[in-house]
Amino acid sequence: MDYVIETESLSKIYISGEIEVNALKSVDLKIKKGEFIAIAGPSGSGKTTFLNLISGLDSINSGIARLAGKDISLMTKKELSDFRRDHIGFIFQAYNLIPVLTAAENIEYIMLLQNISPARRRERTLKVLQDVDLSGKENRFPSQLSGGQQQRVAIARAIVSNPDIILADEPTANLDSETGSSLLDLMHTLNRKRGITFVFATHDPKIMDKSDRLIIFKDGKVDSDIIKNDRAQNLKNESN
Amino acid sequence: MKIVFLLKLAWRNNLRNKRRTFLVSLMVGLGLAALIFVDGMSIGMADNIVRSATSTFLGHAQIHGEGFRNSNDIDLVINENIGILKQLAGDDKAESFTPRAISFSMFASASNSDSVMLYGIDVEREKNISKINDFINKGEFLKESGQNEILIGSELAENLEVGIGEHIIVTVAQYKTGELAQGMFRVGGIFHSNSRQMDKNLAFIKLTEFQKLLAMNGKIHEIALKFKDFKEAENDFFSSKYSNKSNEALSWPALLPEVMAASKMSAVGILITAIILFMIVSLGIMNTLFMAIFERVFEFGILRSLGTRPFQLGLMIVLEAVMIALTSIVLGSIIGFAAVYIVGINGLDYSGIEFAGATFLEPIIPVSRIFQYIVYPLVLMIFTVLISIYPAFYASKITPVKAMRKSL
Repeated sequence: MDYVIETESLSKIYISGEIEVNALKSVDLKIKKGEFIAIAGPSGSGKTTFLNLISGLDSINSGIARLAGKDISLMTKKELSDFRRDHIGFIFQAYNLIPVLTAAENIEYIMLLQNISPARRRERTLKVLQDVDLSGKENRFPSQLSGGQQQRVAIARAIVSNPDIILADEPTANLDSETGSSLLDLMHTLNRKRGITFVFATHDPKIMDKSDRLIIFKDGKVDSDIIKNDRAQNLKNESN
Repeated sequence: MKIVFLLKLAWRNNLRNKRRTFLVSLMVGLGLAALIFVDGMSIGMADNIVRSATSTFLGHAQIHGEGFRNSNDIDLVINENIGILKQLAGDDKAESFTPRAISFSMFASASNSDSVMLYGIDVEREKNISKINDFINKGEFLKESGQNEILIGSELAENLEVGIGEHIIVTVAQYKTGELAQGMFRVGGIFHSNSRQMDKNLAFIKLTEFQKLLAMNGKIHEIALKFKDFKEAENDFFSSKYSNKSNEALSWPALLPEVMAASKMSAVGILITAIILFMIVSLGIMNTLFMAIFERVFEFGILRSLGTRPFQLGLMIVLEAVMIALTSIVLGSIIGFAAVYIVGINGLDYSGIEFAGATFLEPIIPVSRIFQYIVYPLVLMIFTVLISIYPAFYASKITPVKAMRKSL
């Protein structure tokens, strides 16, 4: 079984003036399709750097990162843009919707980049809005939606193009506990029903608790990698 | 990505800060309006000066004996003038024409004397070419039935200290022989044209009396004419048709090179003004674009992370500039047209002021031309697109991770 993400000795050094910061030190990780993974750890442990590198948002100093079987360190900027568009969905802490686009237009944006026909875009947008329980709110601008609703639109935007993996950085951090739980349930359902792979960088105990696999980063390294339930164990066994 | 969507996105991005977009559009629009107005004034001024110069006395074109224009030698008459006058009478393009004879002369009154350019004119035909008849402010224009009447300018009348009915002794050198001849003329009319040169230096008598005084026997020095279509003066047909038999036929651009030069200079001035204005307004647009970019760096990071290519991001910035330019063009064209229209109701009164050897006789009316609303907006758009390339390039170079440093 192929891995969605596979890293070998992945490292990143940031240079700030004369100081070198080893943000990531030789990380080896394998993530299979359908996993629901939480990456936790203290601030500065390398969680976000790891996500930046495997999504091609930041450059790799050494090591290999394969996403959907492709070595992203070999790609040009244009290829990386297209790769992110077609294979990765993002969910950000601060929702980060385009404020001048309606909920539907925010969701359609990626499909526009993919040159999908208007009718197909519309159909998929309405369907995904229904999935995230936002039917009837497609013409609202982000400023007309609550924080939870905005994050639902962000989730819809992330899943609409059927990416191989969704990378979520503190998706519940800006939400109240109830809304956060509700969204976590939604993402968990999407994982279970559609088999979408989720990788969270988080401090939220609820996400850690709900995840199948908990990876703890410490000082730029994987400190522990815990398989939490049978489902994850089965996925691991399949790969072996 | 669909251009329509990008245009919509660019338009909405501009509307994020409505006041700023409106102010920069107004600034650029005012620049365009100023250009349209100044160009309209320039065209109006050129038209006015040409019309004043040609309708006052010159005519649209003239025929002379070769060399006469430079020397004013009275022996250099028009050859075979009767045949030319007949030819002009049958020429479809000529609306009217008049023969003239011209000589330096010395005028003496009871009080004073002065040197004057004396014209012998065809009384009736002259009315169709020049405005001397309209400029009479004392007495009356020459009459066919009148005898030994003279028409002089207001300043000449002051110098000679003569009024209507008083006499002037005119001394001239006769045709071919150079013998001095004198005639006594009664002042029948005094004209005031606002042109100092005319009012001080010109005087008119009947052509037949001029020819008799100078013993010219039907000969003339000048034929002035008007075309049915003023633009014929800009074609070569007149010169090529009538410049023969040792005669020289010239239209007003050749007769008034200083007016033509002033007109061309004015066009160059407009071009320089346009370039300066466009540069200023373009820099205004660039400044606005950079402000908009710096406000949205984080958002650009999001767009890049979602898969927007650098070129697409740059294109979005260019389209935002295009939208600002379009708004500015609409505003500028409306303001420019309104300014031209409002000032054009009464014009700007420069009558009496001399420019490039001619005198403004009427208020300057700014002129609207279609090209002002096509060429200038088009140039503005091109400038805007060119100037937006730098901010667009800047935006396209933004890396997602730097833009979103505090996020994913």
